[in-house]
Amino acid sequence: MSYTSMEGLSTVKYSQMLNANNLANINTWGYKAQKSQNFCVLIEGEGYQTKAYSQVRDGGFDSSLGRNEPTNNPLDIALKGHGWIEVEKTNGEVAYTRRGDLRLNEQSFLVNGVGDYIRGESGRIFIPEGDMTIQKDGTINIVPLSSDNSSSMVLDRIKLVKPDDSMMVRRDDGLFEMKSKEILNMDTSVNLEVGKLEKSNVNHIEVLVNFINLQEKFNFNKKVMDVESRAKESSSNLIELK
Amino acid sequence: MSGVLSIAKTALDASQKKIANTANNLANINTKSFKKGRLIFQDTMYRKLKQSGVEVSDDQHAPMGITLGTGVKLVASEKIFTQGEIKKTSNPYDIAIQGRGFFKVSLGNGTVGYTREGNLKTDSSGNLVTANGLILEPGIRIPDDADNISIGKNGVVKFTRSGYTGEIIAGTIELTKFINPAGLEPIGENLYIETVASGVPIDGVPNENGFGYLEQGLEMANVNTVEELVELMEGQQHYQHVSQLFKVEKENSQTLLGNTR
Repeated sequence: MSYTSMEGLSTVKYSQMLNANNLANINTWGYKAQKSQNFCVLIEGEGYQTKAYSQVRDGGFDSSLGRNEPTNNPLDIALKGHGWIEVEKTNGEVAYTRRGDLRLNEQSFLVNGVGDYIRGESGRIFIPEGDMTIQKDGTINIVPLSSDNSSSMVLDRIKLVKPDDSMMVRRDDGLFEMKSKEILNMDTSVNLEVGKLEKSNVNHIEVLVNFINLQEKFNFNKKVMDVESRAKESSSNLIELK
Repeated sequence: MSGVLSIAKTALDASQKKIANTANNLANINTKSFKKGRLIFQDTMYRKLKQSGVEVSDDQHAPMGITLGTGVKLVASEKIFTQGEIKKTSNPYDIAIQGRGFFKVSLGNGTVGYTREGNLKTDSSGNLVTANGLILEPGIRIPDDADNISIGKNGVVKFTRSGYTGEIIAGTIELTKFINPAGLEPIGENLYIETVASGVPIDGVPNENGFGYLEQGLEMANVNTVEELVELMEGQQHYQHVSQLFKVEKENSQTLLGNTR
């Protein structure tokens, strides 16, 4: 009996860690909540089935949309609906994200708040001197410094993609990639909301409810262990008396 | 420390910083040319663990790995340089920048700082200085008996003087801009200094080459009271929840320890 409840404890612990991580990332722009999946594995054997393992596995990520919060900052972008922004890490790896707190780094490349390079038609986007604006289809316009009039020209276009989210998986670094590891093609139907940032999609109420449920499970399993250890004690006492 | 405890600790830390940032924004609602702060959070590295092999029936997928998050971290805090509202005043020395750019001031000992605060005045020698007495660079001097001071959109400072006809030009107020103003380091009193992240300073003249223009009046803080109050409430609520999680998890850990023989 003890082993079953110990197993129970460790799946509870995993779920608690998942829940805690979601709670911790309630202020992380573009964060997608972790999901877990509990399932029961019946132990086959002779006679009656009296034992079942409680197993938990990675349920992937919650791909529901976070709220797009207005910031009035012209370099902040939030995806309108599903889709992803293609980024390149400093080590050259290409991956996907939903965070859009853009700025220029000291070499004048377009990056997001954690330093990943935003990719355009042909990789990293260099922004020359001038007044840049981002359009809702991801196009970057610029009024170059050298021009006398306000003639704006198209500089590049942010690479936005829209795969089926069930084909995407979270990487160790928090960015996302296709399970197949493929690099996607630009999807011109994806639009942005400029001057907004997508909030974490963690549902505070859900986190609290999970917290309470998991704590109950923990207490229950703990009780089972207590009962069992008392039962052991009393049976060993019986033996002694004899 | 249990996995849950260490995650909860990062959450507690982040939550406290968020509240402090919001409180600072609220405290500076009336500070001229104040730029609101914002925190950049990131979810920290995940650990992927394989499930130990448990036989499963054929119609179930083989268990995938489980992904363990490790909480959250503060990557940086930044200032958001959106335009503050410019409120007209009756003082010709009050000027604000509409658009990009900063005034450059001398911090003494050869260093310079940058500011958006344009409630200027003259010091005892007639130099144009900020409200804190820091000299504008390049320097502009205005004589004691100057009248009808005017500062144009393009930064040209003019005055009249008895005994002289027409307007006299004292000089031109220059501006400095940066590739990434959010990367500037605030050093207090609405002053900023350049960093690697901000990029090198680019000097120029108001109203040309992408620089903003000067306008009479003072720039208000770019803080929205209602927004910040909502953030504060949410932040406090979040802090309470995380504290509770932390407390319960500590108790759980102790309970488990008590159970091992």
